[in-house]
Amino acid sequence: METHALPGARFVDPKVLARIGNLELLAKTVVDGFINGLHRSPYFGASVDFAEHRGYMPGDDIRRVDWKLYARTDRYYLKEYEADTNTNLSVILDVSRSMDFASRGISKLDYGKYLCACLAYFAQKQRDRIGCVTFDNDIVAHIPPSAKHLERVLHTLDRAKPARKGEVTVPMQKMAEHFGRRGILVIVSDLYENPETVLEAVKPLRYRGNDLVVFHVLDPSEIDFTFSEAASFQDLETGEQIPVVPTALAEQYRALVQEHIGALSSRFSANRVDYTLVDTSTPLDYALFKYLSSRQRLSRVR
Amino acid sequence: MAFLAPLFFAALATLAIPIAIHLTQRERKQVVEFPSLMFLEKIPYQSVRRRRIRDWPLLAMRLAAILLIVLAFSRPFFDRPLPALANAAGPREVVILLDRSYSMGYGDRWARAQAAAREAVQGLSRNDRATLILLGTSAQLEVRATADLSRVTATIDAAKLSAEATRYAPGLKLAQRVLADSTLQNREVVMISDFQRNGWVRDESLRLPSGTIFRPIAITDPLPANLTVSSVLPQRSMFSGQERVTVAAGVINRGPAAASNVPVHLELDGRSVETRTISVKPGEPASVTFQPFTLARAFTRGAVRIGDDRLKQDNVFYFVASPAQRLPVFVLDSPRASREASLYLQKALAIGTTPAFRVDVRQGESISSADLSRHRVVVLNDVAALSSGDVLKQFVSQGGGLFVILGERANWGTDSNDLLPGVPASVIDRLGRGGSLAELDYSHPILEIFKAPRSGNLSTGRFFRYRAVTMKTDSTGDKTGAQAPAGRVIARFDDGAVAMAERRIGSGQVVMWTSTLDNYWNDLALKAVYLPFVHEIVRHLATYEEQASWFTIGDVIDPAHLMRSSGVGLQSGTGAMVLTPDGRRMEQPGTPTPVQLDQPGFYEVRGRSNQATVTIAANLDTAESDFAMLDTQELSAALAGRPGSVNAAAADAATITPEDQERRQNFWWYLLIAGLVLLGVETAISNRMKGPIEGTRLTPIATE
Repeated sequence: METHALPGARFVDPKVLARIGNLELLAKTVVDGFINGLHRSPYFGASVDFAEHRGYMPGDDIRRVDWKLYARTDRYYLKEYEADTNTNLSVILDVSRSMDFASRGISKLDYGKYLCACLAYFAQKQRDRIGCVTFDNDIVAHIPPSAKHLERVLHTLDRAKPARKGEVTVPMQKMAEHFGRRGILVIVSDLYENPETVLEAVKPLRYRGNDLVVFHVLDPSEIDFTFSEAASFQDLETGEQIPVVPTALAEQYRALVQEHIGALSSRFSANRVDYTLVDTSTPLDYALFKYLSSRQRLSRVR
Repeated sequence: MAFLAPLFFAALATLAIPIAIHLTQRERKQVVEFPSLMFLEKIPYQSVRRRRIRDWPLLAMRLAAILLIVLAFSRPFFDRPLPALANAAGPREVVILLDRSYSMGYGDRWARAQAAAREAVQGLSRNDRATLILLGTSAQLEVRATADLSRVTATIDAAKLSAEATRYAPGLKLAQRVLADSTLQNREVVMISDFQRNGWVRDESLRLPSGTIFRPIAITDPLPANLTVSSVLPQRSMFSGQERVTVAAGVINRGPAAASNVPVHLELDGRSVETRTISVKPGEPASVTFQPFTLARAFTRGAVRIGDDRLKQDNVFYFVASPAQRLPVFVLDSPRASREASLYLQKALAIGTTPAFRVDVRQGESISSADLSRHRVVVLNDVAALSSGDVLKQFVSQGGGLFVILGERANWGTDSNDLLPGVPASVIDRLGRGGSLAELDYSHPILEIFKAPRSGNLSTGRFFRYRAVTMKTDSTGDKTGAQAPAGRVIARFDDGAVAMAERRIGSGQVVMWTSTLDNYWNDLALKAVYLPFVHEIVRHLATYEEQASWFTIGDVIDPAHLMRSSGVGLQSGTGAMVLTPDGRRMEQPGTPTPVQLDQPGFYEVRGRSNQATVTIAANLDTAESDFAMLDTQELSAALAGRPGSVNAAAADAATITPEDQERRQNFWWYLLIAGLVLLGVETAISNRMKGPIEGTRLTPIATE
């Protein structure tokens, strides 16, 4: 079995996981072997976990006044708690044709499916509500978040097929209208768009108070461009062909890709969007690990 | 180097195909699906780079394979002599075998063969030794192991074509002996011939000494045409009391083209009597039949001639025809016997055709010299010993035949008893079913025709009475005083008693039959086998041989035997004379010796003391007319010599056609194999270099 040596964990190669064939079982395999996540709710409210005090404002519910503190300080303070209510987790998967590329046995789309399934299963174990959106140049399927929607989510993911050209602006605008309640939105896409366009597309989601996590999924050969034979390269989405001598173009290509990744990373960071680049050889649990790490980090700075 | 089919070089244009494929096909074939060309489109594209030829070794292999295959189809061969190799190694023992069989008379073959032989001699150095052997049916060693090359050249110039057929084995055996006796290390055999397949019979004992270079020089012509009179069949018939002969001649067309309306002439005694025309398809035989003619005299000379082609020797076929002769047989019956005593014998001899018999029957107890001189066989049918026993003995010793039938009255006295192979004794009666012939010597000429199954069963006859005979013995004449049987027992009865025995006296034979040839003592005369049995006895005693219409060159004839079997007496010790077709007289005083026929035409054999003449016809061996060639490599392999040196190729090139040279060298075969192997290697290498392709997707090099 192929593993990556990260401290404290042994990760399963996605190629091996691909043999499982059942998304739920796959997600269970990945998540059960993983630590229990401790992500926090983005809401403050009634809970057993104290968060902080704040001064009383007219209109506040007087039941939330900390009377003991009033006795000591003679001032009205309200107690605020971490909400233990379940949050909404929506996985947003790009199913455009460019995701159907594979150079080492597992396509980006499959990898994205596994990743979304793992996150959904993981969230279900945390008693979160789970939703799912697949998109290409429009919304393809939409499962609203619910505590009972794990099966539907997995089913939707399972049947997702690459069919059309991809585009982020339109589907993201539509999604922004749908997500009325704040939650965690996980976008899984190869992001073949201008970084500015991508950022503009996801901003509406962010402005609605959602936590955005972006998994930028690429195939290793898209990053390293290790082709050797001169050939006609055909765009998976448009069908356009251009002749390419890889040995001559590889260096420039790699530079452009890195530039693209760097631009995405910096722009997402500037907008407090959690951006993670994963390639299809990266173990899924590693991606989960990265996700949870970033969630904890985000919760601390909130 | 020359090429048999240079037009195939046009196919070299196909060399452009792999180059074009190299430049274009690779990129057309491989389409790599890629998620997005977003970044690739930003990179300036240099179209010139894609036309770069990659994998130079692969391209070179493809081009070389095509070049080799095209070369193979153009049938290359070397048509010029290459430097000699053998001279550098020291003095050589060279045996030159020059074929002078009559097939070398085709066109200018003989002149070319002589030129090739002279060239071979000129190629020798002063230290080399040469042997010249002329090939025919037999081999003739003309010059043996001499350094006097001018003598060898003179002998070659003086050599003449023979009328013989080709036989390679005798010449090669002579060469084998000469080389084996040689003290020189370098040995060569140069064989100059048309290499007819008919001349070679594989002989395992024929091996040239180890290290001998065998250089065949083929003297051939492209597609030789030749018409041959292969045979003549004179068929006899009787018409109005006269004997007539119808001549049928067989003709074979050995050439590649059909022969149409070719005139065929029949000549009798040098005069053309009839001409017919014939058409023969290539490679097939045909026959022509002439009108019958009456045989006026013995030894009529006939010839069938056909057309005119480049090999004239086999265009004529000679034959001799004579009126059929009746074999004179004298039958002496006992005066006390009935007139029908020899009835069965006479009836049996009256039926014969080859030969026909003339039977004279007389009853009596004596026989005169006049009777004997007119007959070739005397049958003593159950008579007692004659008073003229000495005359009989002289008759037999001079070649006559005596058949003695020992019946009831055959009481032979001791005076004449030395004629018989045994002493007749008492009569034996076999009661009941009687006896039968049981022990038969089928090797004897009389019984030879009954040897094969279902060819006559002599044991079907029942013998109720026969005369016992005790075989005599003669002194062998050596010091030990040993005795040998005086005669040879040919048949015995089932009780072991002698049934038939033979004794040779001088040039003639005496055959003794211990029962009768009528139906009194046995019923053999009533069996079907009786007729051939009696005929064979008389033919044997008369030393009868069917007169051959012709002989073949190389056959050996015995003049004395020939004259005797032709009914022409040859007085003992007077000698004979043989006149050859070219008019040469071969005197043979005393006892004639055998003569080998070596010229086509008519030979005359006559006694020196009288004018009686026997004429025979001699013809060429028609198998020699077949020009089908022997593979010289096969011959070389059979002789286990090394393949011919390059000098042989030079000589060949001067004399043989480009097709023959190319066929013998066979370079195309090696070129074709090399081209195909190269293609196979190229395919394997290119497959290995391509690497795995999954569907239409190209797999990049793994980064792990």
